[in-house]
Amino acid sequence: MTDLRVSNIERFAIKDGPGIRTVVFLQGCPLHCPWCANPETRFMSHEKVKVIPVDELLSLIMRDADYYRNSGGGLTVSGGEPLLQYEALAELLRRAKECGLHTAVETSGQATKTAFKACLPYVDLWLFDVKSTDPERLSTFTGADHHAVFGNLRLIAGEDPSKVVFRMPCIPGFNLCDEHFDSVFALAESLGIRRLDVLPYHTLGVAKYARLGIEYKYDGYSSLEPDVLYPYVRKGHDRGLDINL
Amino acid sequence: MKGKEGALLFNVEQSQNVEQSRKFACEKPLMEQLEIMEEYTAVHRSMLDSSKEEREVACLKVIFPRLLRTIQDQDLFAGRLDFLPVGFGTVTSVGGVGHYCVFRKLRTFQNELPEEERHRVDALYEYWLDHDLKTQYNKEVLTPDTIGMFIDCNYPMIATARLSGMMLDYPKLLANGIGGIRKMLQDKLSCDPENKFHKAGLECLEIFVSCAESLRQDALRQMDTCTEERRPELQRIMDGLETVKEEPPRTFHEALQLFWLYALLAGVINYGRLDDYLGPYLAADLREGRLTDEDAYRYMKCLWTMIENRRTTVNGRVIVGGRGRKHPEDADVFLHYAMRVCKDTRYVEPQFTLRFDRNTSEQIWDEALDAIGAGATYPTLYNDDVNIPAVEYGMRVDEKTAEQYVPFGCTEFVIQGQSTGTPNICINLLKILTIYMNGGVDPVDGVRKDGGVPIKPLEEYVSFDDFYDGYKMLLDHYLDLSVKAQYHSYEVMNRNVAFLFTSLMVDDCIERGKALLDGGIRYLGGTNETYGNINASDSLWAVNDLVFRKKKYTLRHLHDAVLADFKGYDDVLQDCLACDKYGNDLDTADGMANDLYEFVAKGVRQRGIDIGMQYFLIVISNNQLNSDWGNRTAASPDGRRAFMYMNPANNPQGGANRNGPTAMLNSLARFDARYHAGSVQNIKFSPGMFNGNRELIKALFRTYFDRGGCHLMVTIVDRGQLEDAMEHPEKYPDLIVRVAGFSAVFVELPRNIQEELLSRVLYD
Repeated sequence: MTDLRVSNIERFAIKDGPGIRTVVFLQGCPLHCPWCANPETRFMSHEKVKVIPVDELLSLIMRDADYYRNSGGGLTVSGGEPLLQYEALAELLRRAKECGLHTAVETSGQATKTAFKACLPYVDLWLFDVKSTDPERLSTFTGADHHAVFGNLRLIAGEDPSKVVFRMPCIPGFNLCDEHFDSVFALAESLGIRRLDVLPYHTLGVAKYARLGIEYKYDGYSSLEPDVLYPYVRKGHDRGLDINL
Repeated sequence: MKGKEGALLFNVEQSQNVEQSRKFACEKPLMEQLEIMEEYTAVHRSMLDSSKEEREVACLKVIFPRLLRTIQDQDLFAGRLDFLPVGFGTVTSVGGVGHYCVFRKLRTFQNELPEEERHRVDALYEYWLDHDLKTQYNKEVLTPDTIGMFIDCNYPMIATARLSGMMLDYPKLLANGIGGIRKMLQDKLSCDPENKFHKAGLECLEIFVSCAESLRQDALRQMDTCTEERRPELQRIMDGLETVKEEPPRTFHEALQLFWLYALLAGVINYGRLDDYLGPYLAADLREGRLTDEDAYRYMKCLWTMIENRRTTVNGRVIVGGRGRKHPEDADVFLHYAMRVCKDTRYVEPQFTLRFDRNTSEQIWDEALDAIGAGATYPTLYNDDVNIPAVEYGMRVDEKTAEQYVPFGCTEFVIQGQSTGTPNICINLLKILTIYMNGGVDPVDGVRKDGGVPIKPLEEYVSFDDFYDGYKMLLDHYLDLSVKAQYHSYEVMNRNVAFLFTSLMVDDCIERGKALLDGGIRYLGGTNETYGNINASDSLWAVNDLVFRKKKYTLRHLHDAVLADFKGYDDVLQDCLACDKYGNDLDTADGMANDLYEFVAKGVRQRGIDIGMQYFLIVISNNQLNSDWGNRTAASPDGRRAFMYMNPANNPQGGANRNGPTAMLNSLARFDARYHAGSVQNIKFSPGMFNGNRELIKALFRTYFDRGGCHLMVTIVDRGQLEDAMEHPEKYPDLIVRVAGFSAVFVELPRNIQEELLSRVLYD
């Protein structure tokens, strides 16, 4: 029996892929983005983690199958970094495809090529985080390995770029500048990726840090108002990208 | 007077219905009101030995046309009515039931009189203590411990006599006109000249004519002083009244006038499928140029205003759409205007209701969602694909008949023009559970309310089924009481009154020559409102889970905690709250809820069949009684604290549903609709969620309805808005919310109801 370590399940999710979806948040993340809104998903072990067999998880997901069908929705797996549990994840995705579900995976890109290759056949949509294109900055702030992340991006985009959406967390003090947006737009264009979601920084997760007994190190910024991002979005539009805020 | 009252088991001055809306004050001076009531009483007294039909006609002649109000400047057709504390009616919401006296209002009236005239009211009060229909019923049915009067929340069950929810056969009225109906009665009388019902029916038609004439005179008087713009309207009102005294209507105006005045005199406050009945007149007028688009809109708005102005709080049903309409295309013309007016006016009444099925057009869905999204709380949505087969089975009628189902009041179904469905019983399943667990004694007041049903000590239950069976035995006792009390309400009403105006316009009274409760009505049905359904089933699940499955507590320990309202038992409370709850799409708690539902619903239905009714079905409808009754119900094992509101209708307890709207809707869709005659489902969204994701909301609703969801009613409010309205009511004069089977201006609701509404999950 294959199990998944699940931190949360959100039904009627309407922001993580098309239609009405169920999002399964998997536990564990190799990164340590200081602004992270879900710090509880970072550790592989945590008191609230539920260990759920794939079978059981799938039957729970299927309880809303007709909502997905009628709305063009489906299953999204997020995290944490879901590909950390790639064997069970691939199993879940494979079974979900057998059930006719549309599948999406949201990833930081920080996982092995083996993990991506295992999941690739069963994913209809990749929600791929692009935090920074600058290797050093990326590594310093988040602990991510630029080479691995963008290697994986090229792997999945090489397969079918229409199945990839960039997710751009916009973090003041980190990547809120023309240079960053320009380079991400250029990256998208070079890979044939048309769709980008802009995710403004928010502080809704800050209280979780205190509850977990960890320090919130990204102090000093308030949640971003969308109008700050309009100029960047406009730039994307002007380049013919499908960019959503 | 005191001596007599003291002998009763109940207080005749207690409020007997939910009345949130403020009524208009009577137009007549106080002394004239007193004279009318005295005359009414004198006529009633003088005819005590006459037949009920003759007595009713004589009494109606005292109040009609006298209690008609003046035509208002904005009225495009005529007919407004006053009510006095003594008079004749069919329902509690306007006036009272049968020959009635509303003692509380009579007392208030008395106090407004000059000191020296007040004794005259005492004489009325004294007389009606023996003759008010509902008081007679109460004397015969209420018990000291098990059956209370409407609305005494200390009892597990309450009962009343009323004839709520009659929906008349308006197609018959419109097709034949008063003259045609008169002809039917005369034909019948030519075979059986002594038939009291037919004779009295004829006299009722003359009352109708005299009322039409009285209103015509009023319009004529107003011609002298009116503006130039108003003059043609008054002329049309006069002409219309003249026509409908005899002829079938030829125009939308005349059809509205005939329908409206008749409904007013019959005392019915739910109107039914007006799109199908009035749509053909409206469509013809538009086609043939008698009405412009603007005229049509104004007429529709006037109808809305007339209905709103009756202020019944929980009635005023206007139904559009659905299967079984005879003139669907013309009906849709009416429907589209109604949708616009509903969205623009945002009145709490009429309770605008859309019936739909798989074939309902996208345009109609969009209009409905636009109105809901604008905060109208209307239309409420009824799924014909589920309800028609359900009614067919539940009421034991064929499909064609079932297609004519209409919800009235808070949701109860009747067959328009063919059945009674009045909910004269309410039963509190949770209170009965708290009494059961406490050895038959209500923890709220220490009174034994087990009706003599043996109850074992808690220590002796060896399994959950054993425990559940004991509860079912007590429930069975109450269900027995309920069907007898419902049936007896028909006997008491039939003894006293014929409800002539209503009887004339329902099948098969004219044909059989009998008043509706005298054997005239084709389908004698009734409904039983159940409350606390979900608190009871969640409590049963908690008992099962904590005591029998996990064996974490003994039943006694759990009960001790509940009895203490969990004070000093915080650990137990947390465990109770953590148990699975209905509304989260969990087989555990939802399964329990369904099991209890089927036990109660099937039990009630079978008892109705056994006693000889066409149907007696539960409704999980709920006005605000879930809050008021909860305020008099002890703590319960679901973690609900003592005196807290109970869950609304078959929705989860506020805040218990944590898995999002799909999970809640899956839970709601679980109950098999064949065993109830209406069950209402609330859902609450923020405007951003509802209006910003139209296609997803549509998909959400459609899927729910495909899964067997029978109904949905939607409130749109912003997060924080209700809280702010409680703090600053002056800022929210027109914030409309769906309470349960009715809508209300939020800031006009009592605080306990506001709190319950606030507790419901908002999808944002």
